Amino acid sequence: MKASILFKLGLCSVPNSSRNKYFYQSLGASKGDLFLIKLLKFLRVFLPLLLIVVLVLYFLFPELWYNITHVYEVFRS
Amino acid sequence: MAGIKIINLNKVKSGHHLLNNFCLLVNPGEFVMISGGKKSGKSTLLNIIAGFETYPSGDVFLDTQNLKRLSNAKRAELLRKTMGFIPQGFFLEPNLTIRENIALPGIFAGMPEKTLKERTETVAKILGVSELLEKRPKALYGSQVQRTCIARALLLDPPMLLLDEPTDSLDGPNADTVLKIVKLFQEKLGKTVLIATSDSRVAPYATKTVDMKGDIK
Repeated sequence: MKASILFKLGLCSVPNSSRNKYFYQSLGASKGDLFLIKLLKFLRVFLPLLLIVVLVLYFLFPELWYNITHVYEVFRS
Repeated sequence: MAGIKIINLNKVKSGHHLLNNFCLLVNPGEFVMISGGKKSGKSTLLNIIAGFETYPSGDVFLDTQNLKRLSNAKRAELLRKTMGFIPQGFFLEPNLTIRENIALPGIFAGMPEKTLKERTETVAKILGVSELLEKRPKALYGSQVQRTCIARALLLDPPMLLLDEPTDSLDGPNADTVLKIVKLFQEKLGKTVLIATSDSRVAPYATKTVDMKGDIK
């Protein structure tokens, strides 16, 4: 149950800035719980951004995308 | 029953000396109103008592235990058992049901699921929100949000309730409802209540008023 609630708090709830910064501590969340919630919130913002960057590079700048994904060839040569 | 003793507490924030050798004695079962204007340090004081903020000097005793001398884990455990904190704004998680919102402190405390369910239903019944347990916060109106937040703070049956600006942005009837409920818990169950507020409507309910003055604009 705790895992599903933490997941909901991290991925579904509104961002931290709109509420009291001690909200989760006031509910008795441990440092581990807080870290997990913050990590999930970060991923919720970061992963879609990363996906957009990848899609833009792949479809609009295919050569750049090829260079990035084959960067190891620079070192090999 | 829980009391608080604060001796020579100091706290500086953004250049303002919010707490300067501040002393306070709160006896078990008292209803204390901590009043003062903006930046007078009343919310900071509440945050320090609740263990959210640190302080450079001074001592805060919860019953006989000096919070400064406890390890982080022991302090967190003591505060969790002793205090129910209601932050400013009566915030409920919009994506959780009322049942899950009320149960949050028990979930974080690792309470067994069966006990948690029973306890959630008990406090919901006491606060008159039993019929709302499966609803989402957006379906609530009037004082139902405030009553749900109070139910959440009481889930672990703490002997002390801390409320930060509980009547802020509430109209007359809703503010009265909240204050009457809190007063009832203080009188009937002997809970110690600390309210940080600049709202004079709280004064008639308090057994002790502490003026923080300040009012720095």
